[in-house]
Amino acid sequence: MRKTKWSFLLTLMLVLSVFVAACSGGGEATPEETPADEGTTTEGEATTPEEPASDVAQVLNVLETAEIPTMDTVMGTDAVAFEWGNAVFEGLYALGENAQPVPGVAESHEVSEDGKVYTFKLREDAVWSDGSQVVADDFIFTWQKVVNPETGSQYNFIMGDILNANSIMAGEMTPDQLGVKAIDETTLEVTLEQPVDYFLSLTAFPVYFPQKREFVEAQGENYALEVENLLFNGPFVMTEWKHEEGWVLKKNPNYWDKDVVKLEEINIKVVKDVATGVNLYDTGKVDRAGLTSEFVDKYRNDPAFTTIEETVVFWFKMNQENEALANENIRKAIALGVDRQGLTDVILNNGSIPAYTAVPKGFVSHPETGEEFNDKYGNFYEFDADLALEHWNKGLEELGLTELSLEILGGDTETAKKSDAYFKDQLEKHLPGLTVTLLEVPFKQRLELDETQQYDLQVAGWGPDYLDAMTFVDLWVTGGGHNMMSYSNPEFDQLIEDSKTNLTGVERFEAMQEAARIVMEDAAFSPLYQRARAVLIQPYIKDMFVLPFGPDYTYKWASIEK
Amino acid sequence: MEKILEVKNMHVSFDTFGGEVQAVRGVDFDLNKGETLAIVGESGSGKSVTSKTIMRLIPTPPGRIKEGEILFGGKDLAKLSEKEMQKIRGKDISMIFQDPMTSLNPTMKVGKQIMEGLIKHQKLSSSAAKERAIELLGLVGIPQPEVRINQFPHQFSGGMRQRVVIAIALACNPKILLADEPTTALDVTIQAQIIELMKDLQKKMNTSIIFITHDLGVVANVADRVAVMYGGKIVEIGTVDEIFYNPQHPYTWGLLSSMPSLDAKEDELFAIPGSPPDLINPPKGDAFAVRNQFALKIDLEKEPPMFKVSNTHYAATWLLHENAPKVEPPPYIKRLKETKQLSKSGAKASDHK
Amino acid sequence: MAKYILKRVAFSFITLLIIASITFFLMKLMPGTPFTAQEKLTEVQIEILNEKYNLNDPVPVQYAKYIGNMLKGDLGVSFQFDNRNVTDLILDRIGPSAHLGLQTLIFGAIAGIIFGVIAALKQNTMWDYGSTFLAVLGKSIPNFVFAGMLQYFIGVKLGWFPVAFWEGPSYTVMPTIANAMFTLAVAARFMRTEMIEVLSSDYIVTAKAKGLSSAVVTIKHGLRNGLIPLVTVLGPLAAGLLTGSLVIERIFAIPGLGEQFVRSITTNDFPMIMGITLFYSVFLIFVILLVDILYGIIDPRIRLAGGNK
Repeated sequence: MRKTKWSFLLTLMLVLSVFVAACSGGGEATPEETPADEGTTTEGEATTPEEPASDVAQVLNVLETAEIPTMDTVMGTDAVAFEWGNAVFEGLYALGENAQPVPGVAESHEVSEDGKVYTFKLREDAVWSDGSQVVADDFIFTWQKVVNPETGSQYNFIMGDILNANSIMAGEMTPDQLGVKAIDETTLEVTLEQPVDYFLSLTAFPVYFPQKREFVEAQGENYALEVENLLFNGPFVMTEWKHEEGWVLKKNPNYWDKDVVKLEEINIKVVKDVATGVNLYDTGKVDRAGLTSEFVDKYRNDPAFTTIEETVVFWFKMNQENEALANENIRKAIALGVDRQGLTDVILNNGSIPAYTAVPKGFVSHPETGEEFNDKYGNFYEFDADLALEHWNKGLEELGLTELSLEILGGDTETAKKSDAYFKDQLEKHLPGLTVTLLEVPFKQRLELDETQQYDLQVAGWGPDYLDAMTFVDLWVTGGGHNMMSYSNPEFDQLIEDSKTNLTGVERFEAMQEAARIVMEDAAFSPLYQRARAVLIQPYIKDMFVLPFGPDYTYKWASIEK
Repeated sequence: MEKILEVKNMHVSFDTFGGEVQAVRGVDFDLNKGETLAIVGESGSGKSVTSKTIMRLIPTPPGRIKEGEILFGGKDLAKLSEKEMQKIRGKDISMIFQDPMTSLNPTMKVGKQIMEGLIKHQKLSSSAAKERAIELLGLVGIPQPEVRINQFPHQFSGGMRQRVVIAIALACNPKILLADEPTTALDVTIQAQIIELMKDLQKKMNTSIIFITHDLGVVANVADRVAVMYGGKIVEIGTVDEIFYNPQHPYTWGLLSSMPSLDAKEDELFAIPGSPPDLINPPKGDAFAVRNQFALKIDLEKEPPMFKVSNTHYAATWLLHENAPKVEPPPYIKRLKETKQLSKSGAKASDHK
Repeated sequence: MAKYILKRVAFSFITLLIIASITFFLMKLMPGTPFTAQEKLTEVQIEILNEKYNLNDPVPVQYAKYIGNMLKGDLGVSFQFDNRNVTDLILDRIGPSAHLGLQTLIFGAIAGIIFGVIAALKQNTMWDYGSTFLAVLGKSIPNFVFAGMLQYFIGVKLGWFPVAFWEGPSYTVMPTIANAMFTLAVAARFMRTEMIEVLSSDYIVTAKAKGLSSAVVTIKHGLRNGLIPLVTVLGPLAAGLLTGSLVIERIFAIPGLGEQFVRSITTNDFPMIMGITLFYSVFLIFVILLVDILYGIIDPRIRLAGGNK
């Protein structure tokens, strides 16, 4: 028996030793391993590993939750594509600190009197990574590609303000009829359908970025599939791209503004699991990690902890095809009857804040006074149980009812389910006689039900498409594609119409504020909360600016300071 | 006659949850070179345990040799280590078992199973072992041995398989072969063949055989000497003639009487009434006493020692004591004595009324 | 034997076709196309996209086109990743998954066999109880719990192995262990039961009676017979590995196929779903075939029952 025992133990040891041997590959960072993997920012990667870190290496390690869906700026639709597109390409203008447009490929611009014609002067030292200059034709080529329905760009609506763009997208005109013209190699003239206050910020959006005509045409089907099928003109270039695993960016030596760019290298790895990301952060492998509510309490007091308010709002849509919801008092009662603080502080617990306005806080400010959009009229229908009850009773009386049953249509994620359960509880508590049922469905299904207006109350959210209040305000026009509530207010419609056609600047801004006020007073819908995200960001990272839409961060000005 | 194995005062017990089961309660016998000793008895008499203990194949726990010596080749097998036993098993002492259907490894070629022992004990090379294996298969009467050596057990019939088992056992020319009911699971005609084979091989190889069985007909065919076991002890031992034609122990009488016969004129078969003793609490006196119509009072009190009947014949029964009353063995036994023939006229149930 | 294999291969092929067809029609039953979810698309664009991906053709036509292409090795273009074809995407990602799966199977099976045999040999002793305890843990605790614990305690706290990614042998250790716990548990329990039975067989006594050492008896005679039922279980176990590894891949950020599969389903990426399903089916069918062959090799009774005169 002894012999057997030993021979088995031996085999067991052999099996285990395979793994122990593997262990020798190193659990800690070693210089042979690819820099994309474990380079902590204390060890220089440019010089030999033994050298002491006197000069802090400008290497940033971050995570991404998904693989880049596409590096073709024309086809991008999500935050991942936008973020990294924004790092390696550049448009006419770029968004810098506080999302202010700063010159990019264009060194300056002029606007015509009527606000409809922009003339951009391109700088001569803006080059592609093959050394060739970025010319006006590159923009024309790309923008025509965007509006061409055959390209299938899902974000092309964002060019809707350019002359003829909408007709081209509808197939009524040809792409070459787009309102863009090259006056000469470095002068680009853009004609708009109507003046657009925020056009400069639009040009900073990746869909507006240029692509080099000859290169793209030469690449054909392969364009943007791999690193070698791309040309870059941004602050960084992509040097490595391992699909599903990660990619590496290095400072672009030919970038016209390279002296401003401090980071030498950015390593991005794809990690979908939040706990894994936190573990990587704790072991010093990455400098930034996203947190979900379970982790918030643990790291709340960590110096690296921060919450970033996003410009995304969630609200109750109220379908006025439902007789009860067509009654204004009922709607006001619902708007007043939910204590949003309970939701944000307990359930979400990630820095999200209650919302009481049609446009999120911190999104846009008055062009002259700099005052925040919502400051003028303040919050609407803040939680008030007594007032809610008052309106509720009035509404019921008007309808001749004593009780009411409503269904909340919501999502099926963990967060959604918890939130919806909370809403149900709140409404039933504060509005006696109300019975709430919940319908929890996947995203796509909810959209379908929205499109066919088959719901009573719906929890929906919206994020901005461009840097202007209109992206939130025009949702509620009569018969609008996102209205779907049968809400109609002609005064509101008029204000929107005017803002889109003949108003500009301060007038326009104030008209939108007015429109927002109207739709809020009507209690057409009830904002619930503005989303934020909790993140751990190493305090030694400086000037990694947060953007309100499109990319989450911009890296051009970022640096490591220890 | 040269003694090749001496078993002295063997006591083997099993420690179970129910208590200590005393399976073998003091067994003494010798095995002479070249002879066949049959051990007969009912199930539970301890005959299998005895032979397995000689080979030290009883799992310990729960079994253990309480007492006794097993002398072979100048060593006491009871005291050897497992490693030392492994050198003896299959080489000096071999064993064959009852059920040929399950005694062979179903997933290993028959040839390999024979060669294993050859390679280990005789240090033969593979090819030499293979040759020897083919030889052995031929020896045990398997046709086309060079073909069949690469076949699997399920490709052989029952009788053939038992031949293979014998081949394996005899591969290294063991001095002793322990055969534990080797023919019980075979049908009668095959039985006869196997017995013939064994006798033949014994002559050729001069192997000493201990043949365990409960079938007295086989014993008559095969044995030189017979030991009768009951309740973990040997109750009578002698040459085959002595046991059959001059049995002294009432149990032996009962056994012989129970043999069925073709001539029997009656429909009822004779069977010894009662059942074997409880070995957790073995009886104080003679274990057979409760079933013994010839039992004396002392049988219930004290165990009888072995009484000598002749130099080769011993029986453990108080009836052989000088003070014991004279008892006539049952008529069938008397008839056997007279005719010195078995089975012409079998025992009748009426013989025992 | 060759005929047997050929027949099995032919059947496998037909099975594949049926699987492909069923998957195809099941997906068509799912509401919506991948573009329904995009709030920002106009009607016109949705039309164009549907055209591009042949989503407007009548279903039988789509089916025919699909099967035709499949036979040519063209599994279409992924909806999610603009312009990349499915075959390439799958081939890119299948490496880590296959590596992990294989390593898990081997480690789990071998370790499980060892634990099971030890438990059988040392029945009712601490070794046995310990092995049983391990088996219960392995079967009842989901592999992602193991993964999370390993990652935190060993990866972060002790720092013995890397927390995530797949860049060298040391990266594969924790994922393999986490993933293999279930296999190990099943194998251990199985082997224990089998070995206890086998070791009480008559032929084991015969082998001992030949004077063979206990190691030889246990391994050469016992193990081979005990393994037979285990091989049958390996087939479904391997299948389980495919699905089980999804979570492991996600937690350890392994660039494998599993996670991709889940995402394809939630984004209605038909070609990817079909492609991955097909790959998985091929893999499974192959494993089952392998198991059948292995079975025949180990147990000669099965082998000869088929072709012996």
